[in-house]
Amino acid sequence: MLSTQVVIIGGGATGAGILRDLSMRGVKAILVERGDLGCGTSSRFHGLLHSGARYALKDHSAAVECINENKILRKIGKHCVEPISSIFIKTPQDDDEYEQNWLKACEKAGISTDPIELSRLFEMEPKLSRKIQAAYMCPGAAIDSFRMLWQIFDSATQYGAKTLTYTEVIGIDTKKGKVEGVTVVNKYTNEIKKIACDYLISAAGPWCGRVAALADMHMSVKPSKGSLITFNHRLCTNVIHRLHKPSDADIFVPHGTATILGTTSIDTHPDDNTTSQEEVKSMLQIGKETFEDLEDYRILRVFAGCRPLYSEGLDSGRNTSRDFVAIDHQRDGLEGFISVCGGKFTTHRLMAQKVCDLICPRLGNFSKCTTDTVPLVEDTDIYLKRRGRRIFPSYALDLTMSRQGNKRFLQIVNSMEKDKEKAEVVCECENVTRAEIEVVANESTTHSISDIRRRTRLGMGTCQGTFCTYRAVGAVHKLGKAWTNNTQLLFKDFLEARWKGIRPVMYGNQMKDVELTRGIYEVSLNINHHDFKS
Amino acid sequence: MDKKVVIIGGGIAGLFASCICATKGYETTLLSYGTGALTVAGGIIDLYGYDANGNLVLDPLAHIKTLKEPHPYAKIGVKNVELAVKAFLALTHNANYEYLGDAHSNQLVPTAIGTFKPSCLTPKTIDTSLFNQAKHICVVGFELLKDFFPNLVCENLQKIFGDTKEVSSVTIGLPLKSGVEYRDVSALDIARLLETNLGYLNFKEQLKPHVKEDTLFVLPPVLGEEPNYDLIDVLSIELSSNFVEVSAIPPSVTGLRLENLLIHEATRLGVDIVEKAKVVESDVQRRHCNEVYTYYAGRKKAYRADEFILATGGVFGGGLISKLGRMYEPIFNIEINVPQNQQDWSYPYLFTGKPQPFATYGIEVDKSLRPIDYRKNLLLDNVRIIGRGLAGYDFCFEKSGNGVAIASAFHAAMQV
Ligand SMILES: Cc1cc2nc3c(=O)[nH]c(=O)nc-3n(C[C@H](O)[C@H](O)[C@H](O)COP(=O)(O)OP(=O)(O)OC[C@H]3O[C@@H](n4cnc5c(N)ncnc54)[C@H](O)[C@@H]3O)c2cc1C
Ligand SMILES: Cc1cc2nc3c(=O)[nH]c(=O)nc-3n(C[C@H](O)[C@H](O)[C@H](O)COP(=O)(O)OP(=O)(O)OC[C@H]3O[C@@H](n4cnc5c(N)ncnc54)[C@H](O)[C@@H]3O)c2cc1C
Repeated sequence: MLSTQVVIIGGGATGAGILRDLSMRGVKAILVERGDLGCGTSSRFHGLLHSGARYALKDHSAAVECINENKILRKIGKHCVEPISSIFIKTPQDDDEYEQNWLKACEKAGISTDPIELSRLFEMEPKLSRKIQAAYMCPGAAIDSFRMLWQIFDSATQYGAKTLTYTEVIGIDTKKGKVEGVTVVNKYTNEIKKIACDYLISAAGPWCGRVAALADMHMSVKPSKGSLITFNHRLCTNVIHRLHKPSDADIFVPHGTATILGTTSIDTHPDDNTTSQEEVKSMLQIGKETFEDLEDYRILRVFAGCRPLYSEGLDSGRNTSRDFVAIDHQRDGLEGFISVCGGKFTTHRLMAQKVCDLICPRLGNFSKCTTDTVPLVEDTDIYLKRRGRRIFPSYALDLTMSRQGNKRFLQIVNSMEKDKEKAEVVCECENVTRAEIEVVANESTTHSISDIRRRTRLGMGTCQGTFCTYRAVGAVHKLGKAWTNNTQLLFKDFLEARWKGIRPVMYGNQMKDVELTRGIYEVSLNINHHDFKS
Repeated sequence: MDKKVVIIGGGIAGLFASCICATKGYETTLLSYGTGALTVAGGIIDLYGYDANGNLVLDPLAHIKTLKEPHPYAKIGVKNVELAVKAFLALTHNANYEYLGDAHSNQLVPTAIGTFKPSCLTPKTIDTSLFNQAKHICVVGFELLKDFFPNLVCENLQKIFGDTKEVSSVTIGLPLKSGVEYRDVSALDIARLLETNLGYLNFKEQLKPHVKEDTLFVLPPVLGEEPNYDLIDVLSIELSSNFVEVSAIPPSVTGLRLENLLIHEATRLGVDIVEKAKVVESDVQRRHCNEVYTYYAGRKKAYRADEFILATGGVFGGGLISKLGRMYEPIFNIEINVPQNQQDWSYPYLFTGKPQPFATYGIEVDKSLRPIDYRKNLLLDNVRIIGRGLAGYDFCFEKSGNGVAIASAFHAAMQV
């Protein structure tokens, strides 16, 4: 039987942060995630590295945490942060009094708010509505969650941590009021096994209530769904916030060549990640107050995630605290089990630190937290980069290096040097090469093209997989892995996953692409049938 | 005086209709703008492949007879579908690029992932009967051609044929320019190269060692860019083997050949093909169209005719425009009857074993293919709709895209 000091449930930002922190302190830990790393809320989010300004008026301590963590993540995770700023804009619809109180609150929390003259604002952000009346620059930024999560896991692994993906916790084993371990099932093999541990931490995000129930414990989690719209354009250079009480569709975050608008806030169950047409329409309507031409820009897809909001009382949605809670279930008579829930991606490291500070002494470990100073990955190796430049398609070089880090990048360059065909660009929208796909496909945690997508951005660009799906399947099929065997299934899985986000916004050019995709895969390649008569 | 016909849209439907109109002696003008689906689609004519339950149809024409309105085939009528197929075969025959097949049987065409797809009429480079007699199948790939994976095709074909046939694969290296500074190599580049002496000899010599008794070489669509069978004829003789191309992903070389052939035939028959002619408006009085207008480089030009045929395609071709909760035809301003809620346009899964609702949205027509509104009132008395813009069928699900295109083109041309 597997045995360890701590089992962590959930491979989102919170679980990842705890895993790295424990491992760096020398505590043995295994993380189990029922899907792929980051498949929950931690990838279904806005990708904003908060400055704290959004929360300054309502929640001083959350704002302070945000600005501190913002500074830390920019340093330790610099490959994952696009170091832009966030601009808070006041439109005629926004309240004057709020503006003044907000400025004071930000100052108190230590968040800079530099006023921008309107003429300069429209130079910096020419697409903004000319009705805007005031603007302030704050230190928010864009963050790439897949990349950061993967780097956290890589780093934790170097300190001895273990991660089991596609492994769901289906039982919590207790004896005489104390946790002894968990029972897990593997999604691919259906194998059930037990993992013994001294301590169990649930970082299952919006599913925390369900996990706690496995041990007959009560956790009041109120999942609040937020939908997001991805535009196929970079609408703004910086993050654009509305200067008003936080509400729907009031933030635009640019990521590379795309922009994400969000969000909504709807009470629901944790598995709900659907987006309705009403949500899209209403977000576009509000969004137009910021960018008047919003409806002219092509929407790539929509997606949604559930905020893991914790609430003991009756509040829900935007009224619950964005702060996090750590519930020690000892309060209900079970020793060795903590649930961590709430918070933000921005503050995941701090949450982890607080939880580890709490339980490490109980495990006899008195080491200090060092996650705030040690970078997630080493700096890029300039000699390796020079080697890469000789063989890499030019656009892909920097992207691949920051996506994959030195170790994998070395494998990629080696593979290209041996066989120049490996330098072929499989995904033209996101500049992913065949060598990169192969290296990622060979990792033990990869089981599908979607897993490769999360690690490379394959199929996430303009074409949404229309062309690259064929190439990616062709490339991984060559590797002869168990999961690459059924080619028709590989196609369907990936195209269905993409379809989910396209469906609610399938009009205009997006509908053209859908016809092309169906033409290629259903008509030309007939992926849905197995007919042959000889 | 000759009847004047203006056809709008130069995809397969518009081109074929213009050939038929010209044959009938009408003064025919084709207003063409942009490329149609032919350049991405297979250049093979699917007539009807799968029934409503997703079962393979063996006799397309027999099944078409059972279809009900609003399916376009039901409006055109099974007789006319059969005549259209014959006319298409005759046209390809006259142009020395004859297609194989007949409306009463489906052929199973190999694909670039090693599956088979039903289709009805195919060029000689896709002679599916060759699979029966082959003992050895050799899948041919090319170095640097990134959109074809011979191993994948090989393994999946082996799964299908089991012990009955030996399947292998080979990769050919041709003198193509490659490297960081060159763009990717496509099947079209290879097709062009094989039409040169250097490319041909190189290819032939590398294939030679793989020739066994009754070998069938399966390859991407590379057997020449032009619509003729010179390359396959010479290769088959010189290597005493057979060759078959697969249905592959864009760019479609087989589709380009068919497009070239149709343009060539239309020109030969005297069709006036006007390029870069985007039609933007029409003049309609009392349900009668007098003129349509193109707009190019700031200049508006009128085209007057007795009869008009609209072959501008669907959403993909630009003939239909879709917005959130709305769809319309932009030249004659025909509103398409679609659900208000985008969610009702489609199923939660892309592949559900059923036709997708949105794919069937299009222009409703009467039996002579003239547009009607939802109360079945005639909208235009001298405009006929053909091809992808028609309502009532999901070509992806049933495999009927080019079939509906040529059948409606033929029917419309016979009506005017
Ligand atoms: C719409 C939206 C926008 C947001 N925008 C931002 C933003 O811009 N900036 C920001 O900082 N924060 C943002 N947040 C908040 C942030 O995304 C979340 O706070 C954070 O991602 C939560 O991470 P987590 O690890 O706690 O949960 P999750 O990422 O949900 O991780 C929980 C994991 O547990 C797994 N799991 C569940 N049950 C089991 C089981 N039985 N066995 C094994 N595994 C299990 C799940 O599969 C999941 O991967 C946003 C949230 C939403 C919903
Ligand atoms: C990837 C793919 C693979 C396919 N494979 C097959 C297959 O193997 N077999 C098969 O039978 N079918 C296949 N199909 C379906 C088939 O290609 C289409 O159904 C068929 O080509 C439709 O022809 P069309 O002439 O009606 O429309 P289109 O090909 O779309 O042509 C319409 C033309 O009109 C032009 N146009 C639009 N607006 C204007 C305007 N205002 N003025 C002037 N011109 C205008 C467009 O630019 C275009 O050139 C496939 C389709 C796709 C997308």
